[in-house]
Amino acid sequence: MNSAEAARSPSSDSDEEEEEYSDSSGTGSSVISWISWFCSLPGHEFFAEVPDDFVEDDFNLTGLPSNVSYYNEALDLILDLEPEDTTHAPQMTVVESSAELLYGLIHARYILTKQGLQAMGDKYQNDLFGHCPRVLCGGCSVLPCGRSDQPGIDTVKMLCPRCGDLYHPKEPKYQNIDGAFFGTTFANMLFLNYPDLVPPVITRPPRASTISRRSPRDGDDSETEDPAYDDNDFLDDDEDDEYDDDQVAPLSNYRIYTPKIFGFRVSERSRVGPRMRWLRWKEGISTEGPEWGNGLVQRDGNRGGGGGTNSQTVEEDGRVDWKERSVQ
Amino acid sequence: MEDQMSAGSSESAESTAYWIEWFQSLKGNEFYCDVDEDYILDRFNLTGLNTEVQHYALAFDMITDALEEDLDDDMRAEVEKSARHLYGLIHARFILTARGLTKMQEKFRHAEFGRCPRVLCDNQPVLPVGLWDVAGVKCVKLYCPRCEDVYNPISRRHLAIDGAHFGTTFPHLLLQAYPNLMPAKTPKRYVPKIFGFKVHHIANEHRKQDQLKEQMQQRLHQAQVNE
Repeated sequence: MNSAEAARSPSSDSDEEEEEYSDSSGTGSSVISWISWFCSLPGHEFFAEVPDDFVEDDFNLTGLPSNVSYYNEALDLILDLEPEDTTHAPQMTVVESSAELLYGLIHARYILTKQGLQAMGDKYQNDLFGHCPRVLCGGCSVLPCGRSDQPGIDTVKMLCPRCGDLYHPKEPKYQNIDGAFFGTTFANMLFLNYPDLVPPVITRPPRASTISRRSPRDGDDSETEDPAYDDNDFLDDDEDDEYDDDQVAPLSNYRIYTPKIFGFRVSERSRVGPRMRWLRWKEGISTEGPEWGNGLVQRDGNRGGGGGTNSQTVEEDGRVDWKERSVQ
Repeated sequence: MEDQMSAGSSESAESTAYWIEWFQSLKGNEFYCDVDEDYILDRFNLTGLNTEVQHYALAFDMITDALEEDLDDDMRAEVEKSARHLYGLIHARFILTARGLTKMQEKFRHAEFGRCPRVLCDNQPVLPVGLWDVAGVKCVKLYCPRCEDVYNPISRRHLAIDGAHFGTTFPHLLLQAYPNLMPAKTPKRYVPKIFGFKVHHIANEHRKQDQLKEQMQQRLHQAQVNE
């Protein structure tokens, strides 16, 4: 045990040492390039490795010199080149931070290229970016997304393709990454290029499986059951909160939360009634239900699959009369 | 470790902490409020719970610090578990009472339940909510009154809390009871752009959403509900 640890720790140390060594004096052929070292740092898991030839192409760097101080030194550091003039070289830490900024900006450009999109798409499929915190997205994977293309304005946010909303990254270590290192365009571009990555909103969830999954509970606790939202197939990922394991593949359906008190929906007319349902509407979700205020649902007692729209009558004037509903 | 602590605390119950206090001081139990003792002692409030909890009598004694029998370690651990569960179920009922709502709104005001992860909600404090009133189905979730959606708690410790210990009703009842806690809604939303241009199919979706919003506002206007 000890020996194993001992064997491991010096090696990792020596990597960094060698790295620093190569940084400062430029031994050139270090074991690990600055870029891979930078991307392997804890908290930098979101970054894709930009290939050297992309960085070396001056065309790709147009306009960046004006954004980054000590641009040349930083670029040399990124490319593991020996600094040309060591006599009045700026402090290493300054160059380091410039290099990080420069790399981030190059990265933002790189991930918009075909190659970059591919690399990030692979990372996305491997769930490296985490999951949407919204429960009714069913643990959809998210992508990093900036809110501004200018560095230093806002940190990176996570974009969920299902609800199309931005969230703060869950882990604190990602909360200091500049959003401009990913840019406003990238996430949307990726989903546009790989539409298959966006889990569809299915109007009718698979019924059979959900019913069998329901069995552990009593089928007739009625109102409470009819649950606080029309979630049914959501049961299958009981441990969806620990997404560590790779079980997210079949996502449960996208749903909209319905606030309920003792099993009864909170009326829209209540002062604190639901007002934001429109925000979560997606193509494929029916707007005929009473949740949208323009329908009148007659519940069939055992609404297992929870399509929610299967038996309903719409009033002529498109409004819900709650008294009438309770009578029925 | 915990069991030992609990054993210690409940054995020397009179001298040091009460079980409820100890339970609340555990890490991860920050969401719970302390249930009034007279609420627990009123048997009427516990109707039906005896069928839900194993070792009901012992668990009840443990919660009320009245456990006198000497239990071996295994048994004590089991009773300990039941006691937590029983306390959670009582808690779910208690927080729907006027007294419980007061205590919870105090916690809410201090944002003790965390904040909404949605960027455009500007760190709105959230409320705990269960998605089921049946125990053992889902862990506790967080309800954001600003975007009216439910989110997974961030901390791993909170993932172990049963959603039934808060119940599906609680946040909505709280807001009914304290309507001034309802934050102003934000009309902002994230508009995805590629090189500054809107994305076509998403822009379409947004138009439809706006339509739904307008319809809702019209309905409210007709019903003469003041926004």
